Amino acid sequence: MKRLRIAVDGSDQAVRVLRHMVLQAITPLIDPCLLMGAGIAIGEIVTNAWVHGDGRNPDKQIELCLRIQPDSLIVQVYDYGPGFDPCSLPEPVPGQEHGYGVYVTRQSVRSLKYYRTEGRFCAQLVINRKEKNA
Amino acid sequence: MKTIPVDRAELVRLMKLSFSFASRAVTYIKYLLGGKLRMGSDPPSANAVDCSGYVRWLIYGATHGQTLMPDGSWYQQEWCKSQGFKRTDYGHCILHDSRLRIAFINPRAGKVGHVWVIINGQTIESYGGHGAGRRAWDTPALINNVSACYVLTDVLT
Repeated sequence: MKRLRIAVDGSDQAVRVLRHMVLQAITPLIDPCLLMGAGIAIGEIVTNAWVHGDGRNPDKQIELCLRIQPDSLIVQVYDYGPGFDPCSLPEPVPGQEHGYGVYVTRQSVRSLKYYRTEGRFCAQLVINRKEKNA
Repeated sequence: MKTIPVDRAELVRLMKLSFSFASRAVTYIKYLLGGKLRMGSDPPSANAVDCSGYVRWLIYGATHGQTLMPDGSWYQQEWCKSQGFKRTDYGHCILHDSRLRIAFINPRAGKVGHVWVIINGQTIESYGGHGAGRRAWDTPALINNVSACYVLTDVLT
């Protein structure tokens, strides 16, 4: 199993670069048809970590860990925020633009879970490397 | 006047598949002149699209496949005229009235045209140097060059 670990300071551009680097890393590892969904999911959890976890604080780091497994990629994104209970998230409501991030992330990956570890909050994605019916 | 049945929740979901709401720097679909998305693709079938391809994909999806615009911003403007949408002053895009409007810049010498949609003072578009995203309706590059604007929907709830 191979690992990749990247940490960036919290800023708009750093978040963009972090996502870009991870996408570059995973592009040869998964079916091209799954790449778009993976990119959306990674973008959502990285920006959520920066905005809701670290409160856009440039002094707080966002760390991303990628683990490569035979049939999946595990992406963990750590922030220093208080975290939240995903079960408490309201369903997206017509007329509002909140609550869609977790919704579209769940649609795009095999699983999404949140937990607290060593004083940090972690969002963990499991992304399929191949299409189910391939 | 003609309107189209846009599902606002679906519109927001499709925007969310195109760019991050939290970070203006993070877009999932880049701008590419000539880049197109397959109609109904979910997630989007490509990571780069031009302005008309993005608006076409967005409107098709947000109307659950009921509205298929032509491709190309000039043809889309002609389609808006022929369909009988209400032409309106672009200044009305400042309104926070939950109506979706569409606006165009005609092609000029050496420059391609542009198309974008607007709701509640913010655009939804794919534009050069960025990709899919939102800008203020009165961004100078838009308001100084707009050639036509139409009302696409009734108030979205």
